[in-house]
Parts: sequence; C-alpha cells; structure tokens
Amino acid sequence: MQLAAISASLCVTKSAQAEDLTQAHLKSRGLSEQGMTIDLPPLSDNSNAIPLQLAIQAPPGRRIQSFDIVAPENPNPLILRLKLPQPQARYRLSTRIRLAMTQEVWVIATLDDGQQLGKAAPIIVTATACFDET
Amino acid sequence: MANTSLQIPVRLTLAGPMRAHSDVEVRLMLGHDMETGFRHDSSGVRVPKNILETLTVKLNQTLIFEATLGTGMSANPMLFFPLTLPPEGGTLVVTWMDDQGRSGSTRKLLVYE
Repeated sequence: MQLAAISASLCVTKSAQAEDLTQAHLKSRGLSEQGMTIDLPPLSDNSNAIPLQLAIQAPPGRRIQSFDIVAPENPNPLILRLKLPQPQARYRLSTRIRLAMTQEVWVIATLDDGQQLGKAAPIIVTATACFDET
Repeated sequence: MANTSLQIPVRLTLAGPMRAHSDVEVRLMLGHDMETGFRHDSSGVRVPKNILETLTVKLNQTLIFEATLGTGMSANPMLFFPLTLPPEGGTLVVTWMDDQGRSGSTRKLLVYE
C-alpha cells in the first residue's frame, strides 16, 4: 500500500495499455520515417508545456488516416490520438505536451492502406512535469 | 441529475486569407487545467484527474478532426491544424468532452473577405 503510494507519487505507475507503447517495442518495429518531421526542442526546462510541431507527408497516392503522439516514458504514454475522418495527403499540427522524463517522443501515423510511419525525436527533460505543485 | 455541461473559455481563430478554397490554419486553445491525477497539492493531497478527453471539430456538419487527449497534453491544450476553406463558407463547431462525461461546444462563423 505504502509502496504503491510512493510509486504513484514518483509518477512511474504505468496504466494498463492494450498497445505496447514502450520505447523498445516502438524502436523494434522499424517503421519508415519517410516524409515525417518533428520539431521538438532538444532540451526542456519547463516540461509542463513543451512545444511540439509535426508535419507528415504521405507517400504518393496514400493518405493519412490518423496519427498518435506517444511519449513511452510518461505514465500515460499516449499523449494525443488524432483521427482524420477525411484522410489527407499531408498534415501538420502544433501543440504543447507534458513529459515525465528524458526520452524520445514518437509520432506514429497510420495511412489509408494500413501502413504505419513512425519517427522519434529525442529530448532531455531537466524537471519532470509530475512534481510540479503550482 | 449530474451537471453534464462544461463551459470553458475557448480561443478559436483562423490565420490566413479568408477566401473560398484558401488554406488557413485553425488555432484552437481550450482553457482547461488538464489535471493529470499525479499531482499533489501543498498539503500533500492528491489532486484528482480531470482532463478533456475528446475533442471534435465539424465543418458544416462534416467531421474533420477527432482527437483523443491524454494526460500528456499540457494545461490549456493548444492545437493548430490546417484547413482548406469550403467554397460556400459555413460554420466551424468545436465540441469537447471531459473524462467525467461533461461536454460543451463553441462555434465560429466563417466570414469571407
């Protein structure tokens, strides 16, 4: 009980996820990063609002159906899942995310033929979002 | 009966030339704390999780954007995304729902130059 409380306060509890969103698994999938760019600062002092911009250009003839922003080391790795009811050949998104620790942030796009693209951007986090009490 | 309405401040603007067929950027910002449920207040009490979970954008009743937000989104979630303006103009409707099932929406009329 006490241990559970401590690990929760350290922000390391993982919620049950149907998908395997660990760094090792994402890396082992060997997804193509063709046409993807992620703009993320290399170092962050304020991990509560890190600007992230992404741009995806689908391969010729293909369209983007959905994409995920995944932070494998966050307690809840799935940051954002975006579905495009009208698939697009290219898409871009600017947002702000929270990170628990130094890690690689992944963007995984699903095309209309089911193929997936994935790219990671490394970031050093000097202060975790989880201890902030403001 | 629980309160199922959630009114939050929203900033919804369009950047770019306001003409038929032009590509603009939708700039959406929602005023919400996005409490992760991992935080403790100054007296050590855990702050309960309270986040916006789903966000949809409709253009003239057609769904164009459907997002599921996690605790990894920052407070006051901000989303900038592209949109091609329809020839006939119309209305943009943003709808949100939090993890307790409360929802709200805002609309913006597309006014062409």
